[in-house]
Amino acid sequence: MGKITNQYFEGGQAPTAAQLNAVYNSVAADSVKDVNLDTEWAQRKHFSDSNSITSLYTFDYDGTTEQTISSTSYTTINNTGSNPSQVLPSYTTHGHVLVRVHASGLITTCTLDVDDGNGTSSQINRNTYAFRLFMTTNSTTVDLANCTYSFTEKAAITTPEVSVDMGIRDSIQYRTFAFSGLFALAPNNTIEKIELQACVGHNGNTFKVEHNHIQVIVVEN
Amino acid sequence: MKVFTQVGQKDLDQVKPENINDNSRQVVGEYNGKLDGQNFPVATIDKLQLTPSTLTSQSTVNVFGFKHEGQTQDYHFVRRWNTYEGNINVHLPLHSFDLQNNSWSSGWNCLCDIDSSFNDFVIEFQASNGMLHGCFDINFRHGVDRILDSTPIAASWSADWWSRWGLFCNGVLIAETSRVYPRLENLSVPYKVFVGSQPIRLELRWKTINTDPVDELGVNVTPISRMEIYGASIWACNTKR
Repeated sequence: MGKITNQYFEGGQAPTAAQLNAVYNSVAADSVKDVNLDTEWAQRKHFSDSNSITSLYTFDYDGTTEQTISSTSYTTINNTGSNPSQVLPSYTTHGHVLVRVHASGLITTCTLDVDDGNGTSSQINRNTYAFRLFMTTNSTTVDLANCTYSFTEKAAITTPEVSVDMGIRDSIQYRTFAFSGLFALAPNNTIEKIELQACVGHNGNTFKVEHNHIQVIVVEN
Repeated sequence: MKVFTQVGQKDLDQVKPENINDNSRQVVGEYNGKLDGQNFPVATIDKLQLTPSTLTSQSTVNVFGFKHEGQTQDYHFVRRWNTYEGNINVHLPLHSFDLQNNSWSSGWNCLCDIDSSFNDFVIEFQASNGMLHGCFDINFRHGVDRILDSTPIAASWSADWWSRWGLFCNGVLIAETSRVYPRLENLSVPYKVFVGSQPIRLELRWKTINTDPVDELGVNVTPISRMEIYGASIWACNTKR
């Protein structure tokens, strides 16, 4: 159905009861279909804020307590020891959803173990540290996004002299970090948590993270 | 719309048939294809009333990508990243480009100039009239060459080098970084533009200054300078309603 029939009357015409009732019967029996709807019939204001099309989860640490990162395996940032950098959406997907993630923060001071390496591939990790956003669902874990930074300004691979110290000891201090990512998640999964984690490339190197932030946007429709 | 009665009736008025026809025509006419946002209360639609979104792979041989189509917004995504390809360690680059010996322009360069495997690293789609917003991430290193000679040790620096990255929509620069001086850096740059119902092509480009390193002791050494790509991604959200 969808379209409603109508009856029109001429002057002096005596409509029958059936003719008068026809339009109202048509209305009563109808259900709204695409043909009833104007283009752009619904705007964003018509979408519910609860159980919504897009859901936002955030974490913000705005304090000044520094978290020292010294592990070569990823560790969840936890500035105060009791407030890990994570969001806990507990979001169960209805259809295919997008998990949109963003993280940012401030790196304060850095310390190199010996130097930043001689520039060869095997020693690049002496000059790097990394961040990632790590998602745990009810069934699996996912590296949603990651990024890598260098301690110093050193370039790409150089060709060092043998037995010569190539190292640069002055690392870049007080710099911001930021990265983002997108991940498609299948229906009927529950997003339990998303953590901001960090690591260094070489055992003995350290860097400190001060304020840091996570934004997670789950896009369903 | 939400307008029903066109001709009001008063008690004891003589009713003209055309008035009845007008009212009936308005009611039926509205229902038959003219129901619009005025007929629906705000905030009544939630995801359970919408058709589930669809996910379509847009990946090619070298580039990971997908399209996520919802009823209110579409997402488009392409990515090349070291950790997602070939088990490359997070500390190692995906591609290295020799700036000293290869050809590149002093203006904007395509990522495919670094490696042909970036040929498909673009987002192309037919946009719907509305808003296009998104973000690009570029994790790269363009650093100072540190060259050592034997005796005595000489360090060559070129701290005046810089790079910048820009996102082009149909050939127009819509988002740009500032100059990034030597280091390994990840940049996450948002953008937002209005779009019509039109074809869209989003492309990431780079430009750089890479003068010859100055050798402190004047010793003739061959500098090696590379643009290294650790990862790159672009996403775009086309908000339709």
